[in-house]
Amino acid sequence: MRPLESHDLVSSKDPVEASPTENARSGLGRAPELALGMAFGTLLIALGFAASRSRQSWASELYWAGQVTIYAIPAGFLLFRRPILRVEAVAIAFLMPVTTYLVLLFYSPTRFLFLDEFSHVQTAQTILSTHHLFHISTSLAVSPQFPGLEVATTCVASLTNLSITASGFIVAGAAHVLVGLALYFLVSQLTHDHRIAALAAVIYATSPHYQFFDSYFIYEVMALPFFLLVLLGMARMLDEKGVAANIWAVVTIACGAAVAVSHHVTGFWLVGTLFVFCVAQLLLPKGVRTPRVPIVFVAVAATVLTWDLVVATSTWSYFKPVFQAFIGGKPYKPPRPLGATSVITGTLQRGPTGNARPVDSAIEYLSILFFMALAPLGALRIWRDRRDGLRAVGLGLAISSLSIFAIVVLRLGAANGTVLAARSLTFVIIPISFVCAVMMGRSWGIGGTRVPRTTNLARRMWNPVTKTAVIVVFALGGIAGGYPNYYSRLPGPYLMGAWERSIDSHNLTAASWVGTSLTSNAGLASDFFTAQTLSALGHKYNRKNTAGLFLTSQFTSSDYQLIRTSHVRYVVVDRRMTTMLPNDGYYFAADPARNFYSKPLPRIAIDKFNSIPGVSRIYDDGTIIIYDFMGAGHG
Amino acid sequence: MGTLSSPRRSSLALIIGTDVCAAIAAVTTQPVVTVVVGLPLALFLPGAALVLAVDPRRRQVQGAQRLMWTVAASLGMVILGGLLLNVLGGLTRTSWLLLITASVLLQGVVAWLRGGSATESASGLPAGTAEPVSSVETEAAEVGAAAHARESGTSELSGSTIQSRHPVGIRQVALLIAAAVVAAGGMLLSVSSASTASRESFVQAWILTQPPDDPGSTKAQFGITNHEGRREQFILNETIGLSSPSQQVVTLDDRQTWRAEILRKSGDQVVVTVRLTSRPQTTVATVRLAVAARIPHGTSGSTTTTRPGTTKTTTIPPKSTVTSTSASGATTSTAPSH
Repeated sequence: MRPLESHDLVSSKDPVEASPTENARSGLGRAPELALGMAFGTLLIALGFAASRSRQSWASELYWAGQVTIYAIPAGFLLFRRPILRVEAVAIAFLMPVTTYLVLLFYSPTRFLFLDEFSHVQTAQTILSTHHLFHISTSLAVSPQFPGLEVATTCVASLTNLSITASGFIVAGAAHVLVGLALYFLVSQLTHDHRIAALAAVIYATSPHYQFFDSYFIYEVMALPFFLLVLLGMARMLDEKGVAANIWAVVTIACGAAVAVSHHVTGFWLVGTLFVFCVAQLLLPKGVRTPRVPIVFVAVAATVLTWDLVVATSTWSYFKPVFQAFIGGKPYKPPRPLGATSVITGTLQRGPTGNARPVDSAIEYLSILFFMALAPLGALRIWRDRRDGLRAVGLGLAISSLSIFAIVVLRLGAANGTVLAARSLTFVIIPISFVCAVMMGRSWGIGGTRVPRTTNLARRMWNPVTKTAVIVVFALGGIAGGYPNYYSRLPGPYLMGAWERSIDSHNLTAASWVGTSLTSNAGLASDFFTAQTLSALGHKYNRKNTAGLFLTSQFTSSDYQLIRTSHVRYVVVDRRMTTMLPNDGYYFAADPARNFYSKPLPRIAIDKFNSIPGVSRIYDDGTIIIYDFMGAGHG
Repeated sequence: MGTLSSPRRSSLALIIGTDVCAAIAAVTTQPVVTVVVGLPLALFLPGAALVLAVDPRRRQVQGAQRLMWTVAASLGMVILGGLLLNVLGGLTRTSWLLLITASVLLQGVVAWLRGGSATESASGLPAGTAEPVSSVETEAAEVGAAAHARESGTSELSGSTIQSRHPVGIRQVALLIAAAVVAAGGMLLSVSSASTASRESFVQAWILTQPPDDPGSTKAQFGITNHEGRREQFILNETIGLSSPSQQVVTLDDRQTWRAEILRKSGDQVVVTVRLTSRPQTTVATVRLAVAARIPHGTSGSTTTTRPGTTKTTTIPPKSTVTSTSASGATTSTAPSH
């Protein structure tokens, strides 16, 4: 790819030429000031979190001020400042993931809080205790079959004697920082412009899952940096010849193997992206085509498919419900309960929980609109360079950026579109950040490169202030549309059905007790969050489709039948079900009354377990109660 | 050492450094030392050796990008090495140390062979390929490499950026330290507020037949753990079968556990309630062993065992009284209830 008219940017007649004063800027340039400013932003967020834990009403304002600070400072620096040092650009690419990872640590500094993390903790625990991989998981069957994250974590834990939590924080943090740096060096390789590269790193950091979900202790976190390193390796390969190109091809395939053993979806997405590169190459002049691109594609695709078909044999069953819901075109709706003893009576009306807040949706849609506007413009701009040194990776990413429109269609049209779209954005925003950075970095303010066919008004409006504001909107939209959801965006006391806010000492100590005291790995039934936590950390099988047990006023023969057929031995009750509505709209997995709860469950729904013959109440902490059905002839 | 080329010096340093870290990791019991030597063994040294073996003369990657590839290569090697260890015998601390030491040694040898001597480097190699040995040479070599790279489209010195060649100033160091202090302050604040403001106070109580999978067993274990956040006295009311309840008072420090073995007659239900002496009207936990569907014969006598640490295990015969002192010195007294 042509180096984006960089000579224009530093030509002698150019107003952006570096002045002697700028050249005299010492070693780190303004990087220390950037670091201090962004650290101040994280401190505001920490203060907001602390205030939220103390239930102060002004916590939210501090939080948002901190978020705006950590995005506006680097974006403004890149867009307002004329010449920048390379070290400043690298510093921004490094500081963005560091500061956002600090936000995650400030949210929960001493323990994991996301349900999916516990499944991978179980995998890591089992590796440490058995010293082998590929065991059976009671929580997430596919987790041990993609052990990249857990292998690295247990290696650190073994060599340092740190806990799984501490080791996991270190490994996930390292992977998170690698993502920012790898994207920076990828775009730098494609554009030869460090401003654009750093802008891409900042824009990618605005994606909905960047701060939390893509930094949690989950297997995707380990695959993401290697995904980007495959793209970087391929870009380096295309810029080299001979032995050096071959070495980069090998490096690329090795990184692809690391993706294959770490995460299924990232592997599939990688294969798709490499396929786009193969197609993009066909659109370029023959002189820049190389057989290494399809060779790398075939090698990585073969690795991914071999791993999924031979080792990770649970992959298909893991995705089957998603495909079925997607193809079926209708949201999954379990049958409604539950006969004469149902505690959900009368006409069902949609409850107050389970919906996004309008203000969150508005800002999220606004940010997606900006992406939809900038992506095709940036892609078009890159397309115009196709006969001027553009390579397959650059053009392929430009083409891939247009998938934002497919994501919007997916979100609006598919049954489980909201979740699928949000998860997909992790990958889609990689090419989008590239093309948006090109749009913002190449035509910035005065003295930048040409913006053909634009009016003076448009040129004046597309100034650094506007661009910085757009990046801040990207960030706010990403936070509004990503995890944690609005009800758990700030930490605080326990909330029912609220993901990060639904993990507290009650269910964690109960899970620990279950793991150490109940030797059998028999099945358990509970509300979604308690069941997932006890299943993962307590090494018990989570029996889903058992919501009916908790939605009746009496324990009937059909409940006995459900206990028997579902292989449930332990029924776990969180008494807060009778005092709180579920923030996400449901108490149970496959909840028949999902989004239709207008009041908490009645006490009788859970008190009935106290009077069942043969059933022991083996655990009670005042909030969580565990019943053992072994004495009633079950389990 | 004076005649060694930079790649050879680097490979030697990596091999020695890895061996020293591995040796310390193998013998030390100090937690801080274990972390200090363990982290580079897992996250830096294997990748550094691999990057050096692949690119001994720093022609492909330099500076921050080289550091990034080093950490990434370490993670990649650990992941693929874990798959190898799974086949070879297991992922143990010893096997990790052996694998990392061996791989660094192997890659160091490759880097040594590919690195050439300083004499070779100085003679006849193209500009930008010889490894510089002084700062002046470093700069010249980087400029040469940049020129070469620009031709091949790999420059890092183009665009609207400027290459800095000035040392880091005191003011910059002070600002970086200030940034680190601010971030550390945020972390301390978060740890403090997370551990105090949102802490839950409760007591865990449980009862399990011994063994747990035998619902008809005449032996059971009862236990409580104090999560109230402070030292507390608990009133335990125990009812076995149709007999009148007995009461016991247990004092526990925060997070201290107390266990007792309970003996019941065949088919008896056992109910234990827990209250705080500070709030005796409120039952904070109730556990119950149901009437067993299958009741084995025989009732054994009482035995008492004490486990180390903060856990006490006491046998409570039906309607008996026990007085003991917990491991941390807390007084445990019981009184019959009528």
